[in-house]
Amino acid sequence: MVYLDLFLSFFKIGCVSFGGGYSILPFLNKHIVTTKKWCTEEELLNYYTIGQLTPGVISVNVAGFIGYKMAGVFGSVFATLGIITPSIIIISILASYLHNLNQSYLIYLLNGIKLAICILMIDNLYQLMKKNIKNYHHLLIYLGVLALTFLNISNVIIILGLLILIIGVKFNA
Amino acid sequence: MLEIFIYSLEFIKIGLLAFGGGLATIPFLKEFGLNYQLFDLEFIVEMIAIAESTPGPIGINMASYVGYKIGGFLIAINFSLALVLPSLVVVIIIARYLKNINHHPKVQAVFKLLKPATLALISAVLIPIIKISFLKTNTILKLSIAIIMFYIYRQLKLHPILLILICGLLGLLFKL
Repeated sequence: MVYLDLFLSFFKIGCVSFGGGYSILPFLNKHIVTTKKWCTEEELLNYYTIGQLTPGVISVNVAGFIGYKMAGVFGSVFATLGIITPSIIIISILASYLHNLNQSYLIYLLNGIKLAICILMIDNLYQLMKKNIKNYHHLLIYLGVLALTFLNISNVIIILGLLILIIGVKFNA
Repeated sequence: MLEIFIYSLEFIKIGLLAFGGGLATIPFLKEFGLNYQLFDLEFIVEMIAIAESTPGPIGINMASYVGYKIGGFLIAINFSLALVLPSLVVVIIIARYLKNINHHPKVQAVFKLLKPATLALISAVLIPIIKISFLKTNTILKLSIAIIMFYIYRQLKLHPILLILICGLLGLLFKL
């Protein structure tokens, strides 16, 4: 049943979503794009892009988009439930057993995991950049947006601004 | 009972107003914590550190934690659902619309140009993640382990989850 499949797949991804919405990109690419073939890498990036403009947490939004694509409204719901459930369970366990969330063995474990997350993100980002930055236009947009982020401008504004710019250029040319 | 209803509404509000990524929820979480005297900024900072290390976005972590403390597992679920409800609604509306316009070549062309932008945003978020992961303690040791594991990961084509497990164990081993 596709709803269960969506829930379980995103549950698995939710379990490894250390470090924020972007950190799951490698896992989404591996599981959703390559294994399940629920969307293409292109579509996945598109969802991330749109996710910049939607309210709420990006990993939840991306899950929602993929869920909707596969199975409409309920698909969206099950995918979303899937991706947030691991967090709820883990935090509830931590909250009930640990009065102080600063146990040293946990910290060592998590610090190790952070390294893995960095490795995975860098690797995935590198592959994506090789595929998607193919000419000077792309490079210019990449560097431009990167520079803008250093100015502490919100992602929403950057993407909206860029969108307006692109639409303006495309429809005037 | 009333508390739970009010807090649920608050989390729906936070879910609606926080745009652009996990950290966007933080100012709203801070306001919520202070208004209802549930927690202070220091606690949020602790949660940020934890949220970097536990699965899931900080918003969900906070909602779950506060919910659990107030009323156990069910309320943790309750507040988390409240947080994602606005997202779900908006995503479904947009996805519906997207389905109809996605095939338009002009739309696809626009997306093609936005991709490098998204990659830039991901790159930008990677920088603080790298700082947090490497720069606090044991930098050289962490860097060495990371470089070696990166090489092993590529060469052996390790499954990402295996990489996480191995690195986690290395973290314990070396007391990173």
